[in-house]
Formats: sequence, C-alpha cells, structure tokens
Amino acid sequence: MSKPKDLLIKPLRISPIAQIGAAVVVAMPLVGAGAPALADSGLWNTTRILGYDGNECAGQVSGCRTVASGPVAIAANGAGSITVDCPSLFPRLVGWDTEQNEFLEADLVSPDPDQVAGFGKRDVKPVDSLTVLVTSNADAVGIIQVYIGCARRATNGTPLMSERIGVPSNHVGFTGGEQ
Amino acid sequence: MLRVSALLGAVMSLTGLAATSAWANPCSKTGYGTVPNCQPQAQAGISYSGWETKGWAYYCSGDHPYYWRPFNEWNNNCFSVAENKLDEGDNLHKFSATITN
Repeated sequence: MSKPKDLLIKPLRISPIAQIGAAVVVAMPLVGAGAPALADSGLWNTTRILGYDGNECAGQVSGCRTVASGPVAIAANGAGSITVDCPSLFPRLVGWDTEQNEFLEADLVSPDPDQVAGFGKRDVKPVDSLTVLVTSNADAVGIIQVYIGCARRATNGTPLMSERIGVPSNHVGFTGGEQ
Repeated sequence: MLRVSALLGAVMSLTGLAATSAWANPCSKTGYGTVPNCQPQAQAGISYSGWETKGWAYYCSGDHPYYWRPFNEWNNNCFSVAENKLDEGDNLHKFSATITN
C-alpha cells in the first residue's frame, strides 16, 4: 500500500537502545533493508519487510490523519520502545500500523482508547499517544516505522491492533527436513 | 493485499437484527445455540501483507455493547483466528483475537 498523502512526520520519543540506531538509519528506506550476508537467521529471513497496510485509520469514517515515527533501528537481539504523539488538532488515537522486518515483534503497551473510555466510546478521556515495545528475534539489526491514526472526533468500534510479527519465512513450507 | 473482517454478536436490549446474507449469523452458533436480543455488529476490514500475525481488539458499541463470547464470524478465506480470552479478561465489551494469514 502506498504511503498516505497527508502523512505527518513528528518527533518521536524512543528508548535509548532504539535511539542509537535511529541516528544511523533515519534516512534509510525500509524496502530492502537488512544486510544480505545475514539474510537467514534461524527461522527468520532478515531481509523480508512486512509492508505498510494502512490499518491505522480502519473504521474511522472521516477526519483521520496519519502520523509516522520515521524509521527506527532495533539492535540485534535487542529491544526498544517507540512513542508517537497525535497532533493537538487531531488528539484522539484511532489505531496504528507499521512497516517492519519480519523478525521484529511490535507490541502495544500504551492504553487502548476503547478500554480507557469503556463501553466502546471514546469521548470520556482521549488517548493522544501510542507506545509500542519492539523486540528483535534475530541476530540482525531490524528497522521499523510506526504509523498512528489520529482524529478530531471518535468513532465507536474501530479495531485496534495489539501486536504485529511476521510468520518466520524459513519455517514456511517446512516439512521436517534439515533447514 | 489480503483483507479480513469481523462480525460480532453483541447483546443488550431490544430485538436482534438479522445478519447480512454474506455472513453466517454471529448471534447463533452451532453447538452454542442462539443468543437472545443479539445484534450483529460488522467491524472494519483490516489488511495484511502476507505471512504475518497481528493481534486485534474489537469492541461492541451502541445500545448493544456487550460481546457474547464466543459468538463471532469472519469473512476471509486464508486466515486462522484464535480468540484470546485471557486478553479479554473481565472486559464485557471486548473481543480479542490473534489472526494469522
């Protein structure tokens, strides 16, 4: 899926582990990222990218704006957290998506807007930022970019992603033989 | 690009609505019976790139805000869906699932 045209790039808050890598790779496109010499790391293909699917605004009928973190590097076998804030004009978090290496696992650790409000309504206390914890499962540096959807008004019943990780490429088609 | 959509059985009051013909009715499930005063609530479709796993949280809303476990249906042909009852916990409105294509 192509990137949203009204994409906003905002300064993000990242943990020290991830911040070191971000300074190095911030201008690197994600497609093709990863060292060819490390293409295989056990079960994981370290060059396969899980594409951006545009799910951050799923279910929001109108007025949803996408905010991107910019590429962030996660150390080999390391972890880091990424926080992205909604702009003040679009203060309500709708959802999120990523573009990332298959061996990275991204888990939502900040509050779910629906759960905070209760009863599927998001008009009690707006949640205006999102934090994900990213873990690398391979001996390779991984790159992830987080996209969040932000809106002025809430829409009930929008789905919220809680995690994203690739199916290990080197396991796909595995029939029991030597890998 | 692959897409999957969910339809939840939500209950509270009034009369239930019939599910659209393209779906099985999430308010009745083989082996579980039929939920009274149940309203099917279609959730937004979500996209997948391929060979990946995502976790999702859905919420019943409106005047039928309670999700009646395990009454859900899916419009897809290449996904596996596992409900996460521990993640739903004591939240009466939430349906949580891990979905892999």
